[in-house]
Amino acid sequence: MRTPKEGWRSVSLSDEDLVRYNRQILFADFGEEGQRRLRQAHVFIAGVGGLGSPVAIYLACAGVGCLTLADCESVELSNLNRQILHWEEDIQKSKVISAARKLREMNSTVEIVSLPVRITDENVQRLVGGVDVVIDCMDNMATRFVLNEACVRGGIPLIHGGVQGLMGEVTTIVPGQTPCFECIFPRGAARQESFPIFGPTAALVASLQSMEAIKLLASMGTLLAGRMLYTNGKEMEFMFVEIEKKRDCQVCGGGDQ
Amino acid sequence: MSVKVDLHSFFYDGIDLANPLEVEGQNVGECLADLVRRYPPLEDKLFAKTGKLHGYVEVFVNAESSYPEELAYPVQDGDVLTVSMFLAGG
Repeated sequence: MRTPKEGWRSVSLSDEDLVRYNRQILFADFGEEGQRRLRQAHVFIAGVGGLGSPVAIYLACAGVGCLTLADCESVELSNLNRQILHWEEDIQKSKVISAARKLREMNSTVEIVSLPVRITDENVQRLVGGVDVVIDCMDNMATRFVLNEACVRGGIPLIHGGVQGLMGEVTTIVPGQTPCFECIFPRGAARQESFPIFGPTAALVASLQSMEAIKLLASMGTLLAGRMLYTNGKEMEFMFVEIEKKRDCQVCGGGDQ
Repeated sequence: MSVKVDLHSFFYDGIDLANPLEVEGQNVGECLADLVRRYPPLEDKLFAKTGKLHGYVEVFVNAESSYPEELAYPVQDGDVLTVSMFLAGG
């Protein structure tokens, strides 16, 4: 993993910041140091849909210094049951533009970068280069493999989330330490059906992803590293599964590392 | 046909599976039916009430996706069935 930025030590918090973020600064393991670390941080949110909307809201409200939003799609009526940054007035508008407008109103001190682009093998290194963490809020497996490879190569932590129906999953991939996405999921998935999804499922998983991001950036707590958390809202069951490196993983080297 | 099964760990939490896990069948559907006969708690985890696989289950035969034939996808003696879980949505 990349060395955490040290510049946070020189980041100053205004009187307004100390009031605005008081309830999280009060948390002993976080404190003003944690807040300065967040202010210094740059987070890349891949996808601003069901997962990306709550993730962006929580990280903007928490005071992360810069959020880059990447999504090539426009808002559709069928998005509105769960993609809470997008409203009726945004239909047919770019998701990243729609999201950025609300996020700036929530917290004008956060820098929002809107990228209405598709993430590809060709542009991914340029997109995620220099960020502190990537949050996987994508709606397809193919782009997740692209993000994973770039994050492993760049030593950038990747917080994966996935949802379907009432089921969700979350894990934090730390290059050099944990299994990567390629270790966990076989390539070649061919199913292409529209999947069912409820808003609270996405909100639950997105909240967990946001919490992982805040902990990772503030260097506190225990991450979901090497573990996948499955949430089953139908039965209200939560299950942890230990995940292992694939011995011959073509991306991270797996067990050979 | 005897087929080896590699099951995603989500599905067998709390179930003491044989190792190696082998089932009998001429196609994916028959193999999974044999698996459920041996381990009935797997039925709800693999199949919806419609009898179809849950949308988040994908079955690979020798690392090739069985989709779209899926349950009708033929298997050969010695094949490896990988039952994976993809929560692809976001």
